[in-house]
Amino acid sequence: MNRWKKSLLTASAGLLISCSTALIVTAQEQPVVLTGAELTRVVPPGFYFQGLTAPTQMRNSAAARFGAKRYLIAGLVDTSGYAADVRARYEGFLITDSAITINGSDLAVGAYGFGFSNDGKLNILDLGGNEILSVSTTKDNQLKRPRPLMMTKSGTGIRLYSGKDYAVIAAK
Amino acid sequence: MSSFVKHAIRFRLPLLLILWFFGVSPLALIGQQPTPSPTPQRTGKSYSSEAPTKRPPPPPPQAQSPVTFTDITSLSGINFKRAPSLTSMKYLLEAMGGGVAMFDYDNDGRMDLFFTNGASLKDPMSKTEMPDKREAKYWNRLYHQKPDGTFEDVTEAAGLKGSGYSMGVAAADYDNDGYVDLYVTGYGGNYLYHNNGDGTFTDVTKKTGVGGGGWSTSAGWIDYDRDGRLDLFVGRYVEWDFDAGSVYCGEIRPGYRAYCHPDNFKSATNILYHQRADGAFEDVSAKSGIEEPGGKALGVAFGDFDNDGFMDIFVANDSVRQSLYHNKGDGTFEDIAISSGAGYDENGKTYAGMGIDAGDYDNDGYLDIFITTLSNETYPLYHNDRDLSFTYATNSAGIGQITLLYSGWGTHFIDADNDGLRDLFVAQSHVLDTIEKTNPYLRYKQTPLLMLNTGKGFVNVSATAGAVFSNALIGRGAAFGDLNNDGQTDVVIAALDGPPVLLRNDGTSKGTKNHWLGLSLVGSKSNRDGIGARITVTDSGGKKQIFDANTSGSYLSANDPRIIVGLGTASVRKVEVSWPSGIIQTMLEPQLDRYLVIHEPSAR
Repeated sequence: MNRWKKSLLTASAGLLISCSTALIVTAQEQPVVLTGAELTRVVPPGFYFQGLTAPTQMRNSAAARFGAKRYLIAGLVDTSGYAADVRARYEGFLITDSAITINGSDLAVGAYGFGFSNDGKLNILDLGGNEILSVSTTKDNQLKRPRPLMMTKSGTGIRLYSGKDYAVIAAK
Repeated sequence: MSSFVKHAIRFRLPLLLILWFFGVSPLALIGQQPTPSPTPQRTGKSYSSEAPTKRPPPPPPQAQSPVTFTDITSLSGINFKRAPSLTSMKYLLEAMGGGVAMFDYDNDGRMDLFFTNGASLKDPMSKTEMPDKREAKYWNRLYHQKPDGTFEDVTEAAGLKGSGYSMGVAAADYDNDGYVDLYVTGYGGNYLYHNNGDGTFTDVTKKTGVGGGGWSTSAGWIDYDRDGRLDLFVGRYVEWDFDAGSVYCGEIRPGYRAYCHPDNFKSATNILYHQRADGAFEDVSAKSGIEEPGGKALGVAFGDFDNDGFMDIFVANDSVRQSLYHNKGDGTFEDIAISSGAGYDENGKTYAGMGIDAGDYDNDGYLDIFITTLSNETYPLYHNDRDLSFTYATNSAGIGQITLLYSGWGTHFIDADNDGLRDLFVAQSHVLDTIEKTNPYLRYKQTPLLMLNTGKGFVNVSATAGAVFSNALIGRGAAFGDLNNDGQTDVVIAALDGPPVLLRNDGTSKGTKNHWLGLSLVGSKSNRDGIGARITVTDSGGKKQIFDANTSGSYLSANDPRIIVGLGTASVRKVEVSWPSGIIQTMLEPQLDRYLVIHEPSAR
């Protein structure tokens, strides 16, 4: 076998391995929206935010897994213990154990508060109540069964819905 | 202006304003105590705290009503005034009652009335104290209708004064002895009164095991397993007592304390009692799937939503997801509210579900759902899509714009003009007696609402439906039926604080009446009231209407068990009764404009 043929074979094998690896990684990173026991296992019963720990509304919680072990968890909490100005901005929590993007904007690993506002924004707050990210939401008028909070798969990301309004969250 | 006043304005008023800005009450400075309420240690969310206050769109134009209702309260002889014991503590309990039952307890062919009442509350109450009903003004009341159409108070003789702070009432002949019994719900315990058939009732709560507990609201009789014995569903609201209920809600300034939003309290579970052969009841809440946490029940309606022969249960919950318990036919239920699309409004949001009714408003053979809510939420109308799914039809049916500013409680699909299309009546009032201080567009007392079904949607016809629709009141429960046996549906509204309102349906102003057929069921193998029977009426033009016999629906109330079928100018070709026993009975071309008593045959 001459040198040219050897080089071609090596390059082809390398390309094949690279493509396979990429495919495997992509497949592993495909999001899965969790249900049933898998969902209840990851959703915390309560969440600390701005001086109080409020109970989670379990039926209004959702979670997704990116790949094998990267989790994104969101839930509405009972905000009745908060002052009106906090309730106006804070609806629930968003926990991510890996870096993500929300509508293309970066969000680091961490636990956050969030709120969907009437002017079409999803606002991400740190645990002290400071806004660290605000993205515009999209209204899905085709959604048949809207709920206060839910996740659905959307390509390589997931949609986080509040009613018919959603933002797209993807793994980085 | 005196020099003293001028001095006060020049020097003290600016100082007071400055101090007020920094949170110091000016009233305290001048030595006045604003209210007897203690200084709030805890503050909670009130009903109005998140209500938008922007200028609402104008209401849609009203249409001409084909019928008029006349307020006959003053002629009726009923002198009952509900006493809620309003306190400065603004206990939520005092803002939510009461109910009314329209039923014939002595089988004389005339509807009688039962009203639930409050009880004496101290201001404030300690955690261990209970409401006191001993004083006569707090008694529940039974009124017997006399042959001349007036009513007499027979409460004491009947033994129905009651105990505790009463809320709702459910009426049916639970023991199949031919006399209608009463179940009264309330805070701290419920009571089952057996009708002895001689004008008296006996408290059989302990004997039958249906005392419940906590804060019960609407209840209803249902034979969910079709065994011929009525079972009992009891809706419960929130985990509440006078300690938890003393949380201060609303703005912290004199006169602005408000009733707390239910978000401040944990939800309570509902109860389903199954009646055994010995007449006692077994709590089957857990094993039937009814005991699901998360609901805050105020209203309940029964109906067979998927036409499988088993009655389902729809519960109107306050500010959480609604509950639709699908009867699986094996003694268990599954809450399918989310998958059916009836759990939330069309935007996936919760609302304050209060009153509720099930009825087939578009005569497509499937029962639809109507729920009353608070202002700024609009009243949900769910159209049954025939596959255990529902479409939110509030706006497409014209109800959204009509009801935006209203708060509704008791309600019913009534065919007010007997034209064959079910209309909607709503007893109304905001829950907050302080709402006008915090929202310039909303009213505490509100007029009743009559929405006419045109076949293409609903239109508001209240303005021309009688003077009573101009009189604002604090409406709560409402019962519907035929008080004067003329085939036109009358209404009795239970007010929160004061006398009830009796509305006689006087039909069209021209004196002409559409044809009607009244149906009264007597079961033999099935429960004696025929509750759960599906009635299908086919008129001479081939149009079909369906009705599920029961006395539930509305809010805290029980309706006349008879069914009035509006026919317009048509006659009836066929009446088919599908009894809970499985027996199907058919009657051809019955005479019109009268009541027909249908006895269940003893065999298929």
